[in-house]
Order: sequence, then C-alpha cells, then structure tokens
Amino acid sequence: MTFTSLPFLVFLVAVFALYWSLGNRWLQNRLLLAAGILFYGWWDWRFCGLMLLSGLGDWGLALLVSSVDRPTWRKAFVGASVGANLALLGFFKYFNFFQENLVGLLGGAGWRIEPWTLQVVLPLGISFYTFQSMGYIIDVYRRLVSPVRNPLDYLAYVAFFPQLMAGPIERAGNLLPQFLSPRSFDREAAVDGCRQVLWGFTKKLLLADQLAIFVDGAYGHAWAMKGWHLALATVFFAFQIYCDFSAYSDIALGTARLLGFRLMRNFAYPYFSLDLVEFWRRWHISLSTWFRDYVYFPLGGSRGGLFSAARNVFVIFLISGLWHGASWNFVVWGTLHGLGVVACTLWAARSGRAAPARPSEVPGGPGWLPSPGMAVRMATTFALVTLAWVFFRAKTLADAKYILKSIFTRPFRAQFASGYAPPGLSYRVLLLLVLSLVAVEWFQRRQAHGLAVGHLPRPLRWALYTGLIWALLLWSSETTSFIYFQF
Amino acid sequence: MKRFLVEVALFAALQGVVGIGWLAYWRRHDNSYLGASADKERLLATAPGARIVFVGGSNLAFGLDSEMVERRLGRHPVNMGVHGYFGLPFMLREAKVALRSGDVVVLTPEYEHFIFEDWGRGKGLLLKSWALTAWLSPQALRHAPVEVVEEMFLTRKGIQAILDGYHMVGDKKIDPIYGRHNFNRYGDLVLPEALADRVFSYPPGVVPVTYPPNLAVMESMVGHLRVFVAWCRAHDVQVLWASPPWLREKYLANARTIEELEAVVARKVPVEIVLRGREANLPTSRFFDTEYHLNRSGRRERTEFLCERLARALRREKAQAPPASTGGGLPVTLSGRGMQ
Repeated sequence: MTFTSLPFLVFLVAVFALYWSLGNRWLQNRLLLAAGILFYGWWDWRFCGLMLLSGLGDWGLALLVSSVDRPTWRKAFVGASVGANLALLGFFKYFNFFQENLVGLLGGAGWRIEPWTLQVVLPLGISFYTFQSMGYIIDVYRRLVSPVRNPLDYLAYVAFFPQLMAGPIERAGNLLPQFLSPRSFDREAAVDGCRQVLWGFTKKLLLADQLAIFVDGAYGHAWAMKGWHLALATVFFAFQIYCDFSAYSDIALGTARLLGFRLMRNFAYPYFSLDLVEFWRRWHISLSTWFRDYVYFPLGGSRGGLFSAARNVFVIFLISGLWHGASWNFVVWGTLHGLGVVACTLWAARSGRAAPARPSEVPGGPGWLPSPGMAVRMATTFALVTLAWVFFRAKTLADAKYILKSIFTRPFRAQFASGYAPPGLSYRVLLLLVLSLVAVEWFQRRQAHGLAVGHLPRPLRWALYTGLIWALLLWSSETTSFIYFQF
Repeated sequence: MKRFLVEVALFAALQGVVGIGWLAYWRRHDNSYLGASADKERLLATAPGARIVFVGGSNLAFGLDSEMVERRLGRHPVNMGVHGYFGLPFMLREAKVALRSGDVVVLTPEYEHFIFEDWGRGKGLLLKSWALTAWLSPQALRHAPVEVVEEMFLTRKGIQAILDGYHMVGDKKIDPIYGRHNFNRYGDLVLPEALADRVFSYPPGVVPVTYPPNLAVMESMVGHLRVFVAWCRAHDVQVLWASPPWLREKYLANARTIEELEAVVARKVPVEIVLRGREANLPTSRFFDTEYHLNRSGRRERTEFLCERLARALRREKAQAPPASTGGGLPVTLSGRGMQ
C-alpha cells in the first residue's frame, strides 16, 4: 500500500478511528502491529513473515544480550543479530550483484564459471527495518536502552506502518519509549500532522511525479537529448528525488503524529546547505546519523586525528553508496560524496572555519536573503550534489559518463538528432514549480515543514489547504512509486 | 478529540461545497464530447413538432446533415448519436424516455454492437467514458446497464475510474474536434471548416479486420431491439432501420457477417430496413478519422442517400396509415396507448 493511493487514505481513517477509540496502550500496540502487517502485506504478504521473523530474532537476541554479563557472550549475541540482518540484506539485495562481479573478475583471470542465477525479489523496506532493528540491539548492547519484554510491543515498533517502507530509520531510544507509554490525543500535533501529510502529498504528486516524466524521458533517451536538456533533467532530478523522499518522510511524520507519535526529522532543507558536510546533516538525517553512531564512531570517529577521521568518513560514504543499491553507480556516487565531505572537512580544519550548521539551525542564516557569499556557497554545494546525482539516476556507469559528456561538450546539440524532446509539462512550467518550492522552503526554513502555517488566520489557512487539495485532485499526474522503495 | 473531529467535519464539508461548485461550473462550461449526451437528452425532450429521431453512436454524430433531413423530409430531426461504446441497450433506453407518439425512429447502430459482447470494455475505455459521464450528466446513468453501474460503484477499478473521470472534467487538453460545443441544434457534430475535408487512412501495415458472425451476441441484441420496437409500436412510434456507413474495405472484409446480421434483424424484428450495409458503405475518401466518422463530403452523400430512402419509406407508411395518425402529438407518457 503506498501513501498516495486511495486504499491508504481509507486505511488511515479506519486505523485512526479504531486506534483512538481503544484508549489503551496495550490494545493500541496490537492494532498498530496488525495495521503494519496489513500495510506491508498489501504489497506482498509473503514478505510479512520475513519482516516479523527478523524482528522476533532481534527481539530474542536483545533479551539474551541484556541477560548476560560476560562481554564475550554479549558480543556473540549482538554479532549474531547484526550478522543475520546483514545476511538478509546481502542475500536479497546484493547476491546477484556480488555474483556477477565475481564471475566477471574470475572470467578476467581466465576462470570460466557458470553463474548461479537467482530471481531474487527485493522485499520493500528491507534496508530500513533491518537497520532499525540493528540499531536497537546495538543500543541494548551499549546499555543505552532497556530490552523490550513483550515481543508484540517490539514487533509493533518494527512494523510501525508510517515509517516501515522508507524510514525515517528510527532510534530505539526515541521511538520505543513512546510505544511503551500511554498516549493521549494532542489536537495541535494532529492538526500539524495533517498539514505535514498535505505538504508531503503536494511535493510528491505536484512536483516529484511531474518532474519524473521529464527526467525519465530525458534519461531514457539520452542519445537524442541536447546537453542542456540533460543538464536541466539532472537539476530536475535533484528536486524530484528531494520532493519524492522528503514527501515520504513528511507523510510518515504527519501520520505518526496523528497517532500520537513523534518520529525523528529526516530532512531539514538540505539544498540551502553551505557545504557538503552540512548537506549530509540535513539530508536523510536518520541514515546519516545511523552511520555516524553505529559505524563511524566504532571505527574510531575523529579520535585518531585528521587522517583517520577522513578515512572513516570515506568508508561511511562508500557503505552508504552501497546501501542505496547494488550497483557500481551507487558506489561511485558514495565515493564522490565521500571525497567531497573529506575535502570540506580538511579545508575547514585548515582554514579554522566554524563547524557546519546543525539541522536545528536556520539554514542560510537568519536574514530575508542570503549574503552574496552564502548564496555562492549554496549554489556551489547544490551544483556538486546535482553532478553526483547523475551517477545515482543513470542506469549504468557508461550512461552516466555519456550524460556528463553531453552536458559539458554538446550543450546545444544531440549526438543523434531525432527531434525528441522530454515529455510531460514544458520545462518552463517545471522550472516555475521548482522555483516556487525553493521560495516556499526558503521562507519556511525556520519551520519543521513547508506547510507549518499554524500562525496564519484560519480563513487564510483553510483557503491554502483547499487550494492545495484541489490542485492535487485536478493536476496530479498518474502517481509513481516512491524512489526510496527500491532501496 | 471532539474539537478535532468537528474541525475535520467542517473542513470536509467545505471541500464538498467547493467540489460541487466546481463541478456545477464545469458542467455548464465543459466541452467534453461525452457531455453532449445530456444535451441530446434535453434536445429530444424539447424538440417540437413531427420528429425523426436518429438512434445510434458516433456514426450519426459525425455522419448526418440534419438540416438537409429537415428540408427533404419536413420533419424535425433529432440526432442522438454520441458514443457507440455506451452500447445499444443504453441508446434504446435513452431514446425511449422522450419519444412521443407520431415520432419516427431511425435505428443506425454500429455493427460492433452485434459482434462483441462488451464492445469497448476490453480497451478500458468504456468504464472511463461512463465515469466521465457520471460527472457530466449523472442522469444518463439511469440508462446504463446494471453491470456497468455495479462495476463503477462496487469495484476498486470502477471507483478509481470515477476519480480519474473527475480529473477529466474541464480538461483543456481534449481534442478540439471532439467538443461538446461543436454539436449543432439538431445534435450533429459540425467539423471545423479547416478540418472538414480531412481524409481517413489506416496506419501503414494495418488492414481491415474480419469479424466472424457472433450469433449469441446478435440474438441478445436483437432481443433488445424487439422489445424496443414492440414498445414503439404500442406508443405509435414508427421504427426504421438504416445500416451505418462503413469504410468500403472494412465492409468487404465483413460482408458475410453484415448480411447475416441484416437477415437476422429482418427475420426477427418487425422493422423496415431502408438501407442495407452493401448500399451504405462508402469509399475511404468520404471518411474523416475512423471507419465510421464521415468528413464533409461523406456526410452530404450519406444524408442524401438516406433521405431518399427514408422519404420513400415514409410515403409508403403514410399511404398505408389510417387518416387519424398525424404525428407530432402529445408525449407518450400522457397519451400512451390512447393515441391508437
């Protein structure tokens, strides 16, 4: 079940009504578990078992970790859990990738072997719920959280439908206590949750899906595109993926607030970042902080000096690239970001520049407009991020290379002239949509989301919501799946 | 919670009001082709005098010069043709509502009604068309087959189609030819001057398909015709049959099936066939954009020929009729069988 479908709206209304009518934490958690199973099973019921079994395994191992004191055993249990989760991910996500590359490598060395082909279907959300589960058991191991005694409470946490498919990857320390304590209905939070859901729908249906038509057309027929078409398509992709993924997070956060939960923020206006380090503090925050807490710090963080910090950062981005998908494109994308972040860190250390802004700080400074220096830095960061998106969006490395070459060497002509232009809305309309988004986000950057307009008078607010709802009803195109579902 | 629910209810009511207002505005200004269905119902209900009512699909919308019919036959024509995919039962029910004693009905259904069980449904077009009609002229749904109404309101696909249909209302991207505003006061679709002489051609490599006769479907449709004709007779409405114009190549590929159909109609339906398929087919140069839609010259040629045949049939009928039958009388619902 995807957020932007009619069944989801019916499902949400039903769950909301039933949930608050129960008025008992114990029953509410059971309902949330059942809702999560239905939500996930709507896509493919066979993988519900995988999610629940993996969750149960982690729950049991976490209990074992907390029940023994000997460090060896504790390490063994946490290792077993992390190993099992990584094995699941490895099998479903990376089996064919590693096998293809191994066969290629051995073939290059003169050893011909027949590949063992498996038609592995990637279960939706596996990268998200396995990471969430791993985070939990590591936190139990570190004695940061207490293990959950009741397996159904834990499974309700793992299968919490708002963030099940594409995050935010929650921390046990933030979300689990909310599952274990009574909830009361907070009208203000619920109203703002509705606003956030509406803002998510707006970004997904009015922007991401419209931009996707142009981007898919351009990237799918790169050979027939002029360089500037491809450059524009890449810029549009930067906004498409932002609107798509941040929309999912907004809908997740808003839905959770309707049910009395507060999920962690996942995006904080990343395209207003002044450098790549700040960008990664504002983009997919739940994943960046997960890697920081569970990989970067265990690797030593910045304790071993500048060189080891740079090495650790680079490793994180390499893994982050692979997390996104089993393809060399993602590895290159992660590597580019890794190099960029390392360069920024080294430069900042050399020049004694202050630490990059935190997500909670206002991006781009407090003024109405950014200073010229800030504007240049923002534009440069955006340009670097956008260039890296070419590798993320292109199907193969060869395609990415071809697109970059076209952008820089054939801006006004296509390699094979065909008269083909990207389909969908004209690029002028799309540019207008994108600029409108940038303007709204700039003026709303102090708020948690673009539609946090609780301070406006009610008639104005309701007119705004009505306008957006009718724009969605009348102008949204056929919706596509969320991009991050594939990860 | 109570305050939240009250606010949600108020907001939902506001959206309902906006939605209804928007729909009312567009139903008035909409230029969707299918919206013409409501206009034609109105036309049939209000057209004055002695009338000749043409019942069929888009072969009539695109293929009749009603002004010529009026001049030649001295009757007020009402062209009910809109969309063949709605099906023959719909067309017959729609016409029946506003027929009056003394009317002449000319049945000109497309051949596919008698060949395919659910014409159009396989292409997913039918449900979409119904959904749009539901928004533009919901009263038309009362003539829709029960299974269509069930599919629209009781299945996920149908509800999705209704929601999609809402998007299509007021769609500015529609083909300007297929516009509700292009219909004249008789119900003919008048082609824009610049396009009126366009000539149809099959895409390269496409040849006319041959359909074998489907006797089960023919029998079922003929059953509907029999009921309709019996009703018309009972209400002093004369019914004639005129085969639609079809692209000659297409006719030749399907001549056996058409002759079979006409034979079944002649045998089982008490209706005079004034024009047969072998006479009604026309060369490609007379067609506009499909095998049924005529361009300007095709429309003229077809109407002239049809008028000639209809005039003959009407003269015969007049000669045989008792002197009391004058036509242009009271609506059926008021006069009923009393007119006989």
